[in-house]
Amino acid sequence: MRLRKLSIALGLGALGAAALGALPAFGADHRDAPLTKAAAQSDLNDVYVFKNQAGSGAVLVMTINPLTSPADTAKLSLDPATVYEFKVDTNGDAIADISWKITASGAGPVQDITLRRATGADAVTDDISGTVVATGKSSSGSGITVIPVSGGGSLFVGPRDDPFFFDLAAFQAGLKFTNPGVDTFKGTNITALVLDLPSPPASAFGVWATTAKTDSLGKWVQLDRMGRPAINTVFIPADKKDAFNNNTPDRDVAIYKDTVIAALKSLGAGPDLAGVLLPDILTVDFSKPIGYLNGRGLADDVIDISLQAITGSPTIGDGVPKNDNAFSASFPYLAAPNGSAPGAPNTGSSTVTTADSSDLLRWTLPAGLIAAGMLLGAAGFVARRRPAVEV
Amino acid sequence: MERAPGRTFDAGWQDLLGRRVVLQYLPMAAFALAAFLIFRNLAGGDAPTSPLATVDSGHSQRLAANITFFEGRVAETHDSLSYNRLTGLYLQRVRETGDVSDVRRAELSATKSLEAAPGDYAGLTNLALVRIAQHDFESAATLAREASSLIPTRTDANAILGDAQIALGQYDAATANYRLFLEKNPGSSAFSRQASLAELQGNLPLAEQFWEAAIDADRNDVPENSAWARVQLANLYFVTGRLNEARTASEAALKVFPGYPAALAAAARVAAATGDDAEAIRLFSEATARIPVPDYVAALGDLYQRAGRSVDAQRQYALVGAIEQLFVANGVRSDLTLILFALDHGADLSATLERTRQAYAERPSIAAADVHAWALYRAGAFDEARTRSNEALHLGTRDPSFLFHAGMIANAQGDTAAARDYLGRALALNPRFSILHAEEAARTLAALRGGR
Repeated sequence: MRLRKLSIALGLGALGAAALGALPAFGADHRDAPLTKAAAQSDLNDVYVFKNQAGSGAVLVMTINPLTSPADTAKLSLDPATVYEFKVDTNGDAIADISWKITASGAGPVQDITLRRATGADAVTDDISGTVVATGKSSSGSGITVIPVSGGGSLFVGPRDDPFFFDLAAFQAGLKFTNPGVDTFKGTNITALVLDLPSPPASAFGVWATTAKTDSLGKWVQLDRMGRPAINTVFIPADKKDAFNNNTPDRDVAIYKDTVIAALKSLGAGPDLAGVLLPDILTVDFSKPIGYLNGRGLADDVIDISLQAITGSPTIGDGVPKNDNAFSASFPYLAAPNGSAPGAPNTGSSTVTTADSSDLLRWTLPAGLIAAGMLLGAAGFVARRRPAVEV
Repeated sequence: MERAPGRTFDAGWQDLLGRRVVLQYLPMAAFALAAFLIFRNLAGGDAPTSPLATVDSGHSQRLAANITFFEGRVAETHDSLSYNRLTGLYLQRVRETGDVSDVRRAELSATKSLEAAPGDYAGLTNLALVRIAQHDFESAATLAREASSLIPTRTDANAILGDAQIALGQYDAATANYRLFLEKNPGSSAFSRQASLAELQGNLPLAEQFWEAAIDADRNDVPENSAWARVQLANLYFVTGRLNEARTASEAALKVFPGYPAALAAAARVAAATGDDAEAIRLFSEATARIPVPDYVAALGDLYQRAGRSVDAQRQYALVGAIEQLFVANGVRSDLTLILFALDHGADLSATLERTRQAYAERPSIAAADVHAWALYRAGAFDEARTRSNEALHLGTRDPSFLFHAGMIANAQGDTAAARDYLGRALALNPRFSILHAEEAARTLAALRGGR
């Protein structure tokens, strides 16, 4: 053996150790099995409800697959095992009266999409029930494949720029906002499910989105649900979040009101707010101007609106007033995905108008509540950016 | 079941138990690579390709672009979600390139995430994954427990906790955690862990079914992960002598992820078992050229030895020695594969025995018990060796190497009945289970039967 070369090798190793600092330890017997995390496909990021381009119809949007880089955007898809639903309550009892259920089949970026419309008991269940009202292909890249809906309307499923904008780190740091702030989601893409209906389901209605799939016993498990941004994640403790996600809004008050009130009390706030927080439904009245909290437009600065309502300060904001990409006036409204080839409609301004929603926000909170709420919600932040299983 | 004649290669079942899995050395391999590059001429494997050659340009480019993107994002945003994403990307790149600096980057990224969002579930589980990659299993278990207590209904932390517990020899606890993970997340990751449990329990048909289920359920998002499960199945086939199926599975892995060193090694073992040592040497050379995993380097040396190329063999053994000294110089704790190599290649026995005791004390897994038993046997402490060997076999694991060790120990004790049983079972599983020991096992068994 050539000891001289060996000593050189060892010398290199020592240098490497010094350069790299703390060394990992080795020598254990384990397999290093990968831990594939599929949650992104069923992780609801945001829900939007606004008027369509014609002004007479309603657009329902949910986004999934958060924080996707341009490089990974070509791989985005729906989970064929998951059913994606827009649950709609038309009579104010917090029980779904109509559900638009979207399922996908096939692997790869272009999948076969099926839209069903279910009513009554079929709307309540997560079963893939109801009448098929549309079938077609999902979109890939910056392309827009319109899936026509029988009886009128359009469906889009595909990658888009994440319409959400927010300075998460400044929020996490305890509302250390700067002006301008940093849009955490700038340049990232999501998968959007956009349903454009020729007329609203009712003049006033409530919407929440759900994702569900079957467990190992074949029973449907609702993985996520979302109405308004913020509510559930900030005010429901970490160990109850999954149960909350698996619940239905009609039971929110009965099950979670005490939890929310207790959280509020511990923060020095009164219990009245619980009545505003629950049930977790995004309500909209089409006879009034649309804008958060009356529906939610793509351009609505829900963070600033919420912060101002909670703190009572009219000036507080995260310094990120708008999305990094302009929205489109026409279907599918969301901007083309970042890093994709140009050519898709990606101009125009939002059709959404910002309404005065102060009448919906009669409550105020001490400023410390937000920080404490952050602790409750850990990093799960207002817009339900559930950090459950990143990687 | 096909019983392939001809020569086979050492270490099939050990791979299944994870004792010699390529990935366990990947982070270290960057250091070893420095040695390797220097030793390149010295070691001189046949027809090596360039080290760390691009294995799948499309995937590698996408991974690199992803990392660049999120490095840019966190520099601007400093938020926990982007750090979490980046941590996962670093950990995947470690699996594919063995660059130890990525483990450190992952550690820093996970730490930053937890600074931005203290006590966050994803941050905790990510740091636990980093600790697993660093083989700091106690810390990994602590972090995973913390995450699990935070949100008991999410079971990613249970999977990680189970991984750490397997390495620490806490099999009942690991089984319980894997079950929780399976119930909540039935999928490729859960199935592969069930397969590992089945192997530990010696239920090879069940293990096979779970590996196949893991492959079927895989969504092929990460080619390396898809190839990994196929390599595990290939190793299972190999251990039970089903060489054609083992070859098919390793070829499938290479198709999914071209150039994958673990798959090259699996194919090399099949080649060696069918008597094609030239092909085995070529494949092991290619694997070690990509990442100089000590296991493969040692195997290459053993093949050279068998071919009568003792100079080439000594070069490979010298490289293993260099890697080992690098491990020691860099504060690496007990490494079972290197200890076994030392025991079987004439290293100083008293020092090796002490390392073995230490390894067993740190984590009393069945693999550590087996190595400890073998060291005690070499040292002539047969009764103590038998106790450890019994412990290594107490789960019912059907590992020909474990059984061979048990047989030789029993024989040394004069327990000929047990020796016949153990050696017979080892050879029945795979008559060529080890390039180094298969002949000795067969010879000893024949003598035991002849002398009856």
